[in-house]
Amino acid sequence: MAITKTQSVNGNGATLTLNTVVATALLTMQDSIYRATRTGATEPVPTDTAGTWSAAINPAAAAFIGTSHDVGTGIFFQANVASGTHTITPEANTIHHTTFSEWGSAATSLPSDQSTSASTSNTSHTSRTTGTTGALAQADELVLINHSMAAENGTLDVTYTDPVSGFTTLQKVSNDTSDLAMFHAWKTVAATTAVSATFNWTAAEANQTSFACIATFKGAAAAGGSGHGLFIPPLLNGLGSGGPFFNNQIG
Amino acid sequence: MTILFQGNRTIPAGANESSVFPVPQNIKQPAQALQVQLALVWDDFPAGTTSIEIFLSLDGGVTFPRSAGGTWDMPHEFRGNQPHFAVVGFSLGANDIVTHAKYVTNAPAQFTTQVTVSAVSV
Repeated sequence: MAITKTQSVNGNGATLTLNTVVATALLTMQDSIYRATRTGATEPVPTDTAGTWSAAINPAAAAFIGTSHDVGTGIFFQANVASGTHTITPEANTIHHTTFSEWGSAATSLPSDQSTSASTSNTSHTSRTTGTTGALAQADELVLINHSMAAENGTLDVTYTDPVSGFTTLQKVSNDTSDLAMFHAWKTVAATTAVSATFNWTAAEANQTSFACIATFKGAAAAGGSGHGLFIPPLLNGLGSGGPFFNNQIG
Repeated sequence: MTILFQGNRTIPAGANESSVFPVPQNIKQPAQALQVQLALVWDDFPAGTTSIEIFLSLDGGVTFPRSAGGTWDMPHEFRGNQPHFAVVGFSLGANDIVTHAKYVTNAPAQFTTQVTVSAVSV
């Protein structure tokens, strides 16, 4: 069953809130960050008023303007969520542009599958691939991609190619002079072929750093299956007893 | 992108609801979601935490059951020259037909800033 987008909110403030989230949905947070100091640290998982998040991919930030600043990115998720309002607080960086999304028909246990990332530091360039993942675990997955980019002088419009081929844009910022240029997008796939994406733009200069990443998430198993190999014993007079596979304590 | 409103607004202290903006039906494309976006000049925000929440209607403006938003703090360390924008965008699914939008702010003090409300198919 293909994963579908229920709703998403994007912004650059301290927190983001989604209301009327449906129970058992998958929540994802895509983040593009800039730090005015150099730490090289990964971005930690966000906090949430209604659950606990995990990282699908959160690589160490790339150096920008020599080793004075950071440019980074990350994709985070929470599966099988509680219904209602979720307010997330990403790491408080100098700049972050965050996309917070709710997805239906995703696996409710261990949905995170493949991920990879790649960066270019302090070099003039006009494209950045995410890198190619391994083969997907199943032929029904959600693919999320991020790009983050800053330039020492920069421009108000880096002129991204939009959309990224095959993807639907969630959020885009084109200013890499007084802001952080960024691009978040998604698609679903119906094959186990490894995935990658390439971001393209036209503005380039010597002190330019960009970071791209990609993460995939498994769809829910089709009706009648568990999706993660849990053995369901046959009924024995309704008691479930009689041997190692029929222990009532399983599950 | 279609601009639904752009102009200076005085945002009062406390909770305040905007007027309702009809969303033209020719913006959303088939199989794509419609996103309503707000942009305000962050440099104008008062000290403290300002929240902005977008509400969407699917029934001609009768009810606004769907909402999302965020918070912005001042002071804040910005990068580069002004202006810097507080931006928030909210979208539903590809099959949801949004008819109207409004926003609610909650600011620690009154301030005046340029507000841009826009809609785009994503």
